[in-house]
Amino acid sequence: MATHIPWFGVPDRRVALRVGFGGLGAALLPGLLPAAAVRPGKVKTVIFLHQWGGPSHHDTIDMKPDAPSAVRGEFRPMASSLVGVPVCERLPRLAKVIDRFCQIRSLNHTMKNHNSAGYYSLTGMAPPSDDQRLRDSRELFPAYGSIVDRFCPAPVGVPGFVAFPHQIADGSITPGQHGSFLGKVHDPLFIGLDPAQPGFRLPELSLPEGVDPARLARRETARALVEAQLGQLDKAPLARGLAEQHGKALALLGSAKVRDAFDLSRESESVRDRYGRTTYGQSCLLARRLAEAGCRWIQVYFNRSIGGAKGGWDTHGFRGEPMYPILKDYLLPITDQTLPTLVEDLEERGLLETTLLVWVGEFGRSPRINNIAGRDHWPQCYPALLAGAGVKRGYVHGRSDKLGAYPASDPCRPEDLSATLFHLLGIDPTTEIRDSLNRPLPLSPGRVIIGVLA
Amino acid sequence: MPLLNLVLLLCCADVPSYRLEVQPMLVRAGCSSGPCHGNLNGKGGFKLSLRGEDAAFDLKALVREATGRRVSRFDPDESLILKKAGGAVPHEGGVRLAPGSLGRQILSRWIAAGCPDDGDRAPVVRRLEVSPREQFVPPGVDRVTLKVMAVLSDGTSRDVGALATFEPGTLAFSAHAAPVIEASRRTAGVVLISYAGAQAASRLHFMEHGSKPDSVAAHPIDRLVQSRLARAGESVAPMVPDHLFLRRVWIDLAGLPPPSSVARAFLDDQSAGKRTRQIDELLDASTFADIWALKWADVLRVEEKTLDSKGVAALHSWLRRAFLDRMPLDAMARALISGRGSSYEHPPSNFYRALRDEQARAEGVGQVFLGLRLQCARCHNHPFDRWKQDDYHGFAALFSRLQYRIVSNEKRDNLDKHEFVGDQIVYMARSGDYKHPTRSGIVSPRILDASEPLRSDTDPLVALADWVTAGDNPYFAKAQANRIWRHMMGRGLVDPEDDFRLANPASNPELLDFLATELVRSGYETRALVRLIATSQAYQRSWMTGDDDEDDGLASSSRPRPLTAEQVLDALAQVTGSPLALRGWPRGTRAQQLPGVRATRDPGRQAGDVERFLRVFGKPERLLSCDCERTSEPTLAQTFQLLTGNTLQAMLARSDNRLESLLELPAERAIEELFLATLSRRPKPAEITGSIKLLNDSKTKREGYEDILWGLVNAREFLLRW
Repeated sequence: MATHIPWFGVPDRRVALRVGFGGLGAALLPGLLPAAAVRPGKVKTVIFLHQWGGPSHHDTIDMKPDAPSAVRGEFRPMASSLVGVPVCERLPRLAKVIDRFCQIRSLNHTMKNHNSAGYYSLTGMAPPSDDQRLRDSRELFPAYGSIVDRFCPAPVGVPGFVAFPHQIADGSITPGQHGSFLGKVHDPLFIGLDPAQPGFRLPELSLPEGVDPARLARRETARALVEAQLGQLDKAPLARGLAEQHGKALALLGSAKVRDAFDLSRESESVRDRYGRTTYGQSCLLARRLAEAGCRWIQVYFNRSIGGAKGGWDTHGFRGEPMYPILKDYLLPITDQTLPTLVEDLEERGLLETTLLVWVGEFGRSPRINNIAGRDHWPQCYPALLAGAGVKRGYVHGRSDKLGAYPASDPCRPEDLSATLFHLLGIDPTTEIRDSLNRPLPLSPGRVIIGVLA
Repeated sequence: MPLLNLVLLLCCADVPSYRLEVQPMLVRAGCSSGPCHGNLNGKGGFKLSLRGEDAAFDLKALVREATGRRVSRFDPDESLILKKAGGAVPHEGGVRLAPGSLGRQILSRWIAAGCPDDGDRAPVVRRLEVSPREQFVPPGVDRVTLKVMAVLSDGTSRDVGALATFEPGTLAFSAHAAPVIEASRRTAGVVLISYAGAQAASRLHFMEHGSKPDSVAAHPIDRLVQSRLARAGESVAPMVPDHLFLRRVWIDLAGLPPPSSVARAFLDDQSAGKRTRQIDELLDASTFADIWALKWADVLRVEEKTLDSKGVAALHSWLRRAFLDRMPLDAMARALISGRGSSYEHPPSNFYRALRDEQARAEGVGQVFLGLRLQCARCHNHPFDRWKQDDYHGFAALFSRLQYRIVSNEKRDNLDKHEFVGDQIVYMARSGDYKHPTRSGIVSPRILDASEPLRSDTDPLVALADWVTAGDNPYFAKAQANRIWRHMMGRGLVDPEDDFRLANPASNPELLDFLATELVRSGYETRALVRLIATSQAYQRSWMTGDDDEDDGLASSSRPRPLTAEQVLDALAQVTGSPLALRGWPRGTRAQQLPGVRATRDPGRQAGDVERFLRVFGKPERLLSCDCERTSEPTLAQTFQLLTGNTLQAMLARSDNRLESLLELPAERAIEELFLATLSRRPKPAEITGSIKLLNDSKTKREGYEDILWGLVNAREFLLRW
């Protein structure tokens, strides 16, 4: 019986053994196979900023100023801190810090719908079909963070996988946001609240109305009366596990450490302002605080919905909402305020030594601007930004062609990115896990992108 | 080592056979395992087929790829494959074929002979025979030598103990020195042996104590359980006391803890046979149909998006009616498997309405009715069972003529192809071929185990239903008996319950045979088997200290398990006297009576507290034909639901709940009532004095009772089924 508790990372004693060999495969002459799959990685923490909707690479970090006007768009590139690597003029702060990043410009796949591509981007596993309403079932692969929580859990008392401030969906909930067949114990600690709101706090750590700490203590006394009578039964493994969990939940309720990490009011006003008083901005600040607290995988969703005036990056131009005003007034300013602030803040605090920042969406946008002044879905070529532990600084891996339509060199797929992330965390991507039908599957079917490794 | 000599003799006769010696040796050495060169991308530029399923592919990889430098005919020792596997050059996988080893010799001589393929003349392995197939190994002995014979198509057989791959199913066993299996601790486990596409399994039970004399039990189940336990040298746990028995049988047969009045009467009843009378009462109650309809609705994928709320209600009430009316399981299976027609008018047709393509139907029938997980064989031959890809696709082809006539579809989301709102007619079209997904060509429908395809003039689903429910079907009765055993005992004799296969044999095969026979004899009546199990001592045993984490399935004792999501919620509603407020359902409807996944009848509504509560405690979304979708692992989120969540707090605080009536009673009487309602027992003296003290310390009496009840339902004695 699993007594592993997601927040506390008490590993099942068998995990360590099984990891290297993957279940039955393991059993094949154990001890002779390659060394155990988990070793200390360069990366302790990943902050995964998921850009839901699919950002336009032409209008951000992979501009094509020499392409025809229908492709290059309204914005011009500007010189950046990296010679010969310009950035969109609407991202001037990002241009200044782009030398901290490692860019991949040749990601590609074939999923044209948000939910199937979104699942791909959150798990590194190709969905069974390109389905606009791909159903979220336990057959599908677990989120990156769940795998990380399973194979290299956070220190005791710290949640391994935290996700906020939205659950993303396009018509139906996007798969790939939870533990799936790894079990609910590896689900993220999910916070569906806005960290920019005053009084933001974890509901789990708040007592219900009419129950003050003194009353909770009385309730615990009542519980203890009954528990004391359990006798022999207390030794049953499942019973022990439940008791441990109850104790830990109580400890969390009473302890300051995790609660403090979620308490943004402990930050100075100037720091909060630097991140921007937006849901996304304060979420990025929360991500930094959780990285300091020792979380392993921190997932921030840019927005709950794919697009619209105050939504994600899905800038088709639908509903009389052309792309450029949205980019100019909302998407790019919020990005230019938040991303450079986060990378600088991490660097100033020395966290970039052990933390990897990932900025990626589910696909890019079409080279050609459509007839309603927008760009459509484009999985054939799109970028990712990485910064921090284990990856090169000021480096561009893979080129797109002159229209930004297809990779011109070093094409990479989402599973290659997943293999790279697992590798950096010290998890062998070929490690096998068992799905709900006990089928052995590798953590990632991709290849590590050697070029980006520092 | 005589075995080694024998093999050497065999091989020395001439050039080693690629198919029967060289390639199996690469599999045995682990070269083609998933984490190594069998990986999708290979390793280090060298890719072999996964677990050696494609001998021709592997030959090419060995001989032709890498500009042929993997093998060196003129100087075999210079072959890269031998240098790598022998440790002469760095190899991430370490030394796999040490110099001087048998594998090394075979490979070396084969390379020297020019790497010939004997695919066109080598005999095919018909089957593997292992002995012992099962052994109880006495204390002090920690190793067993398995003898593995391959029976070949040329009529000969040979010992392949040094060539086959041995995979223990438990980490306590080591196959380092296969065919010798060593145990590092005293436990039971299965060793899967595979060789050139054939498989066999051996179950080894390394005993902690010596065998015991068999005691004679009155109940037929106990005879079979105890005879096996005696052979294994295990002792049995004592029977559970009355209050735990009562709570257990209520939860297993009715899904609820017994009401306080029932508990009081049962504890006070001094007459003989009261346990059996209690069982019989519960078998006759309608709650029995509620919980079995729920169990079947889980695996039949009764959920709102595909079936719509009307279809969900139709199939669920059909199932409930089937259990109320004691419909035999074979009749139920027949109706579902051959079911067609309007999904509103003819509820069983919803089985196929939920399974939208041939593969989902084949896999669903396999898991639900036959206890077989065929999925692996969709893309390649099943690595841990005998099913080949052809078996799978022949089986899937049975369903290829099944079509839907969509009468209406007023779905809310036009982009969602999984959503249907409106009736559909499931019917058998005149034609409809099943195309092989990867090879070109059409696959003829063929029932599993049949050597010939189905005749084209037969209705494939009627033929399938006939085969499934035939008296000599080797799977159906066992799978259903196993499902019922698992419901009662918490672990299937074959476990997981829908994973019957070679490498996963029953923990007590004689008992499984007996239960299957009894199920058939009773006319496939679920109640009859439930009664048989519930009246056995095996069912009524308590938990035993000293049991470790792993359940060996021998039923020497009972293991505590968590209440299911619906059981927790219904129990909370019952003991607090706050019936669930479910939109659209009559007051008093319980979570276990909900037909689908949603707790509201209004499809546009967001999930409310009840739905969230059920999800956190593991209620499945019903998107898989597998009971494994329902989870019972305790999580911190569950603890927080009870500690700080709204649901329990609202039930406790409701002004018209059970606590209101307790305020009139003397404190001791009220406390007894709460204990009987939650734990089916009377409070002990320490619990009474402690509770009275709590009442006195509370601001109000009402608040005191709320807190006592909170303590009771947060206690493990309440949250677990003991």
